[in-house]
Amino acid sequence: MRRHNLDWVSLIAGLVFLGFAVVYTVVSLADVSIDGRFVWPIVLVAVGAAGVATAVKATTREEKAFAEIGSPDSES
Amino acid sequence: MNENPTLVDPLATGPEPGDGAETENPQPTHPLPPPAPFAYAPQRPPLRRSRTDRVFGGVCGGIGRQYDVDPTLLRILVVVITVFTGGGFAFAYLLGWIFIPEEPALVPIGTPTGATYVAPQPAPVPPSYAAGGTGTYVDPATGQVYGAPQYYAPVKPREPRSYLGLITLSAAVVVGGLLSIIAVAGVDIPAATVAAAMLAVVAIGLLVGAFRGRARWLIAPAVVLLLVAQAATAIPRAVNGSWGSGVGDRTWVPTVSSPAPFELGAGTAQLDLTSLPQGPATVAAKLGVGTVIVMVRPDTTLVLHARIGAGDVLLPGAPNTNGTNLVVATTVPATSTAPAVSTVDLTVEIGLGELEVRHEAS
Repeated sequence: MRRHNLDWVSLIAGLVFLGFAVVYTVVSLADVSIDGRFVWPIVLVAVGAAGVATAVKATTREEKAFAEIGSPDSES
Repeated sequence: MNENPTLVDPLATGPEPGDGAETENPQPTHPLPPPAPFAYAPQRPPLRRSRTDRVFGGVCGGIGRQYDVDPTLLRILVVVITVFTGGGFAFAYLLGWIFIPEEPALVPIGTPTGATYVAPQPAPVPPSYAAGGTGTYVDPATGQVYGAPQYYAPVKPREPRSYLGLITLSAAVVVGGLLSIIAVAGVDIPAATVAAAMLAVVAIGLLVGAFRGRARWLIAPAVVLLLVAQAATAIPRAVNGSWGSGVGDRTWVPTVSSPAPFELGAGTAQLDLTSLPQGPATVAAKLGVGTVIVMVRPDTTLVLHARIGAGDVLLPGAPNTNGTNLVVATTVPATSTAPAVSTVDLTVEIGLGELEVRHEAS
């Protein structure tokens, strides 16, 4: 069985896009309107947040790997 | 200090204590052949399109590998730039596809073309050793070493290809197709709803991919679908129907009251109301994307009802109004000093664009 670490990029992107999907379904079917100017700034925030999460994760992982240099079977 | 010219041991040939060279790197003190240039400065391989990491031709995969950038990030960037350049960047991407050569397919070294590649099998352990021996055992007959610790380069095995993305995108296409069929069959499903439903499927695929499988590239189709949903929402439903009425420039000069709307899919429409007879009249116009310029006589009072999905309204003597989902209900008074003799009741619907009302020069 393959074990995966949580992929933050996919998680954040999925949540944001699912949210917009729901919003636009409601907007297109009901007589509601939203201010579309908020959409892309929110996407930008999400992309930035996902990038930060990935970078922090990678930094932690690399520091950990650096600390364990010398033990050949520390790969896990 | 050249005491030991034959030993090649970098640990033993460091600077001697007290010779003042501690700050320098330890160097062998005897002449060594110069290192092969590739041993210490591996050349950057030429830019190649990736065969293994690809969505459209492997351009981003290749560039990302070349410059150590996450190809997914590049893909998002490509989509965003493409959107902001109105599709122009897609051309540059195509150029990359055409002019960056593809990397060669990997073939096991030394395997003649067409031959079956047989992976080397580990040597069998003799029963005497397998029965419970530990440590290293050298078979005296063959010289084969058993049980010696073997170190492998830490090659991370490539994960089996995840089909999650393909499944998700296919499911989204099926959902979009089904909804379109239902819409064609007569049920009122706006285009934005179809796009939103497809976006929901892609988003669920991304969420699943966060936990198992990997399908980050689904972000690219999700961005496109979000754009489509947004654009389709900006165009009011009433105007969606006018797409079939053509593209181009129109000049509409009604001479009688015409409540049935003039329609144009995309372009510039001049609606000339100056030929209407004196007295009350009703005129309507629909435009998908573009500009409607309304010309009125100075002796005419214009009663205007307008809906604009996204765009501008320019009325004489009033500041420019712009925004999304504009609803205008106003009266543009006659400008002539003589009493107004005509009243035109005008209804305009524009999906995306501009409505301008001008008074004919008197």
